Amino acid sequence: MKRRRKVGKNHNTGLSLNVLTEDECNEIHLATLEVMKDVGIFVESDEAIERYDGGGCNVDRETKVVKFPHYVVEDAIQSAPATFYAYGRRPEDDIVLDDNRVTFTNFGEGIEFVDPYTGEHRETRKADIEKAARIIDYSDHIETYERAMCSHDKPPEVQAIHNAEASLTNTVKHHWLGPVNKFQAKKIVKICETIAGGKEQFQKRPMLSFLSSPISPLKMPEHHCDIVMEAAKNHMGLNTVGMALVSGTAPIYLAGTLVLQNCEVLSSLVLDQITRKGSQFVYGSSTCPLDLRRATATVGSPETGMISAAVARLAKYYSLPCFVAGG
Amino acid sequence: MSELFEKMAKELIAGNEAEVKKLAQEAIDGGATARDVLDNGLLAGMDVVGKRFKAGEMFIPEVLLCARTMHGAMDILKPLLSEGDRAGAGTVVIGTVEGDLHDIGKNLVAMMLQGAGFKVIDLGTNIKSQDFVDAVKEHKPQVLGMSALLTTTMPKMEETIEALKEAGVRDQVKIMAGGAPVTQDFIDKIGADAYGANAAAASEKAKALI
Repeated sequence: MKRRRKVGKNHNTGLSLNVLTEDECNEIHLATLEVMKDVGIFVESDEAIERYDGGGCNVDRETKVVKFPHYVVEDAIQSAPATFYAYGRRPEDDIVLDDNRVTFTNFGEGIEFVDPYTGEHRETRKADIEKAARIIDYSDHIETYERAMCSHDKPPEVQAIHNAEASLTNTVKHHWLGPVNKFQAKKIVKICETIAGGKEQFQKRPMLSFLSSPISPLKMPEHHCDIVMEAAKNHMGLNTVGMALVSGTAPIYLAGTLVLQNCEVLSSLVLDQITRKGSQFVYGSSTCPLDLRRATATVGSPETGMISAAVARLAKYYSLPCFVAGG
Repeated sequence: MSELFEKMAKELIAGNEAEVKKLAQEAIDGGATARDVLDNGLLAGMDVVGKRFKAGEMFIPEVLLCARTMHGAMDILKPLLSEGDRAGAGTVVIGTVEGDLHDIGKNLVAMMLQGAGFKVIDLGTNIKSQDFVDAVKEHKPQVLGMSALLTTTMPKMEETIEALKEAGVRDQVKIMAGGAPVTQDFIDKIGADAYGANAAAASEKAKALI
């Protein structure tokens, strides 16, 4: 008995949590465009306001509110690459993020942990980051690295720079790192250029992407604007991580939260693409519910998983890579 | 009269503003002092709300509703209260420090403090040291609360305390600070008086400071 090869068969790989249909993505997108057009977003940075103005947005310099015509948002979504090249130190460390591909990163910024040697519950320090980066470097299944902890033993004004040094000297994988403000971002770029062997070499293979977050609801603080623009100017990847609190700083309906977060992330995307068209961008989300009894962010809740799955689907709808909380 | 106060507290816990206002007016008409109504009717009710919230039996929106109900009823009492009594449990000036726009934590603390009977003046976010100093001079609060979420803006807390010292008003006010990167060690280092790890703790600490 012979069984020939089947042709034209659709088949499935892996498992997927299909939270949103295409139509539902449309609804979220259209609602987002409406809010961005009519309500707008508060932009603290004057430089960013100028760029938005030059990019076709409607800006009010008095209230610092920027409103977006539909086409400006659509253009930015189009011009951002669908494939993100997460460069490592060597080509064999590079990871390609696109379409349905899934890989892992550790998360950050751990501010406290249980010291594995002494058992003490304490705040994290620079030396802890060095060790964490080594562990991630060794772990095959964690293909990119986020600065794991915070250099609390260094002055607050330069902790991000120390985080960068501790991380970059201990793993060859692509880095996600939050520089916190423009001053530290510029210094970290210098470190990366030195490691890469020059500005040109770094811009060709940027081994570090900046992480930055807007503030919900609908605020782009100055430091966030600065980081978006620095990433674009230096040909680096930008990972804008939304961190809305459902029922706290965002609507209690998850769809409403998705719309609000979408406005904030896409506003960041627009600034990124206006600063340098074609810049690499990742749609990030760490959005979770505010526990209405304990007044705390519940990052480990089921809703966080639902939101993360929805964001992944929404990012695919936009042909953008995404970065979501796995728990 | 005590039966009336009990009913008032019950309606406050249920968030019925119209009913509470009606009962407050009834109490005043019946000869109770405004201070009495505030303490034994309204604050007594908010006390229960605070306890239930701490025990995880009430939700933030419910607490907000009760606080709003209480402040609605205060409209009747305010013209009858003395200047000092109008401030209830005390006055708190609160704000997020310069360079920082985060406010949800601060807002939750302000809500808890209002619920505990404090008069809260919320300056907002991105508040310069000098503006904190000016607010202390103007409102003469018992407590000044500062919030920060970014490690890079924490140093502004120390700067504000120095500014208060220079202006000669540091001793007039107790200083509380909080926010994700803030720790007890940091509080001790900068010379603040108290640290609240979360909104409920902040409210307790504020009461203890007065």
